[in-house]
Amino acid sequence: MSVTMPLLFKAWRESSGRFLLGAALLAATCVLGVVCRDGLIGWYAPRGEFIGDRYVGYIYRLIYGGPARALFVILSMVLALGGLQRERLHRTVGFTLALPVSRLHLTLAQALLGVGQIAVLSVLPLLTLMMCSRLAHVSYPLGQMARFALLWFVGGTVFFAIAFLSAILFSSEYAALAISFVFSIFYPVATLIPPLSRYPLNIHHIMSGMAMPYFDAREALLVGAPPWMLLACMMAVAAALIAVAVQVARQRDFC
Amino acid sequence: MTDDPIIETRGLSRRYGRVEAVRDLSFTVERGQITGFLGRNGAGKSTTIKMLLGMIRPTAGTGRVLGYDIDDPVQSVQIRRRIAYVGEDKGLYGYMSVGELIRFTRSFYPDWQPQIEARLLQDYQLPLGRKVKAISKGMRTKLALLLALARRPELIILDEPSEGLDPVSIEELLQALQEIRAGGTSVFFSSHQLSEVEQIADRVLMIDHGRLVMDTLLSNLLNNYRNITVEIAAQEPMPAFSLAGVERTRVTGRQARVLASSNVEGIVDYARALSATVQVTPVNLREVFLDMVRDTT
Amino acid sequence: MLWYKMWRESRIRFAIGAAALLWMCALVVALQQRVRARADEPLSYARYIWAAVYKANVLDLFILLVIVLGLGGVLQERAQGTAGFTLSLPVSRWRLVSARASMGLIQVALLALLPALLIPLLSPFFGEAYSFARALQFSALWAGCGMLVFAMAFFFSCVLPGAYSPAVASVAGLLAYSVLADLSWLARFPALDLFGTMHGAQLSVQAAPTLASFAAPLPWLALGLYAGIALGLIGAAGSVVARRDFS
Repeated sequence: MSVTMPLLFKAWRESSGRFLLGAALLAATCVLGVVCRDGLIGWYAPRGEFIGDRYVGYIYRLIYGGPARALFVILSMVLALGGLQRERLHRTVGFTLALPVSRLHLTLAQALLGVGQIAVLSVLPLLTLMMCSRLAHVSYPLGQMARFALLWFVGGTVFFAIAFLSAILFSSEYAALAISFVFSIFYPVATLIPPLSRYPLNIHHIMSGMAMPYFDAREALLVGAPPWMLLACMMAVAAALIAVAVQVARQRDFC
Repeated sequence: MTDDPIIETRGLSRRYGRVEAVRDLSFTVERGQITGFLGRNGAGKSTTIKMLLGMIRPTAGTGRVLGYDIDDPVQSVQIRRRIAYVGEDKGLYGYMSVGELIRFTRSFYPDWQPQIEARLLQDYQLPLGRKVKAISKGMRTKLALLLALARRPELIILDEPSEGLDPVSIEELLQALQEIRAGGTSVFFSSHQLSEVEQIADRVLMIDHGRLVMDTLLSNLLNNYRNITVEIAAQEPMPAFSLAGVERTRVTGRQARVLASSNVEGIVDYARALSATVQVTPVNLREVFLDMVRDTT
Repeated sequence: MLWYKMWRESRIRFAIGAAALLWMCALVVALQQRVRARADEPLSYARYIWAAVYKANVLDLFILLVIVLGLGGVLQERAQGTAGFTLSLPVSRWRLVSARASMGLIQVALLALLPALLIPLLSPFFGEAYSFARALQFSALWAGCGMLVFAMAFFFSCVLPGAYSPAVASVAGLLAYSVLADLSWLARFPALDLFGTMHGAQLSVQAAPTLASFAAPLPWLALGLYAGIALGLIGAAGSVVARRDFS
């Protein structure tokens, strides 16, 4: 009998509140952006700053390169928290570890569900903007939304993996959250230090396209082919971080 | 069914920094028996149980449950597949309803018995739709017991199972444990309630400061253990009772209380040879427990 | 001893926050030459510090850390099974709430002070100077605005179940606030622009102040407004906790 489904169910029940709240807030930001565009466009896309469709620049500044992306990054990290260390605090770890499944299974199920939730969140702006823009008689290119969704998914998975490892390493749930937040801010600054500064390592920039060769800042559009090699490397880093987290969980005593 | 012990430990130890929670613990638990695991708070009972379940790794020694190595993560899964466990804090997922938690747990065990589940649900009167976090501590204990008993495990390990239960429920629990033993399941349970252990246990393991201090059949304890009170005349020095069968000696003034597991006649003869007044009384589990653990603090 | 409990519950977060802020500030100072050399136009050291610390990365970190400091409380204790013990202490729930809020606000103020302590001290080692009075002004802005951020997280942690939902709600609330503050009809009231006040752009261009002129350019109206709202939010949180049943 497969134990993956019940473990995914458990992981879902543990994170559904955060996920649904986050999804609602992300969707609300997109809806608000479209509905209040007349009031906000002057701030986010001043006349003459972008070539072409000003609405495209505005959506980029507000959603794909702005506050909505910041919210997505935070959500990616928050979704990774929890797990066995938190169960220890809530005194359910005994029941969980007595189940006839390996810790590998337990932690992988949590990671799998989290990555799935990030995938949903990364396409949420696409779905919301597509519907709202149509209702508001404005349009944003579908191809751009799909490509940003891909960048968000990969970047979000790396942030998720960092927080996932942090949640296994630190017994205090708030300490894990603080460490994840510190990483998300410290990391881009660290990429300025040589020799790191020579490489495109800033995940925030990779997600928004800022200062990247695959992004035209004047038009606020992604251009050329997606950076497949870069994205593959990022996914490999995320996988490695999750693997480390699983290994730590397997070795750790939960008393 | 084999004759191999269902639990076997050899020199099992667990250290937390400078504290030795469990020291050099070696014991065996036979199949088909109810074994009571006794000890004071902090004696190392829960640590031992958690090591048996693979939640904590031993710092030294080995252990086998159902023939599987407790220190091997893969074999540990096999152990947990074939046993049932009720933890001391009865921590269950508060965010699930009672029904959801039963369905969740059921999905891990092919040997789940729906008819037992239905009977226990009726006996315990558990509200299926209510969230686990909203039910009382007693109800939570009953739910934890249902999740463990609604299967045919080869071994059931319970850590303080009666904690939080009312007297009627405790009686029902003890009866249920005897029934599942009759059905071939071995029971290993820790408890502070000595009367419960005395009521159902076949064998008693006693642990103190992480060390095993007693491993005996309960019937042997009740039939053969004796308290020998020796009162020495004022001019005589108090002798050392280093004789076969002496488990503990407690000296108060001119009086010595000797707990003997065997060789009662020999000890009595030895005392009488010293012109002492000797009184022999039978013991119960409570007295033995207090004798074994009280003076070692 | 109530303060001791609050300190014990938050000290790891505070220590992580303090260490991270100090490390980030040190890094910004240490990297100043390299970053300023790559700037599109000449960038004074004071302007660089403002852009890197008081307007951007370090400020973002401060805000996130303040949110983390606002989390916790009796509602969260319930999940860990310690709420019963806490509520059985012979103190009112209002005292519990006010002790936690006070400890949190002190920690926020201390975090806000850290850049002011480090940057002026460290700058000479890298051949630069930064006015302590100016750094203190920014710290005052951070502490005042941080109160509101803290109070928001504090309020959410008293009304929302789950350890992380209050954090998500706080981040979303702040982002929504930042977007709404940009709406043209709200932009007319600069005192309502929390992040604008926190950035303290006007302080970045002002000549290096002295300690004697320290208080003069601070936006006291806005800071008073935030303090009022923060106290209101903490009061509302206390009221929710006082009325709630903890089964």
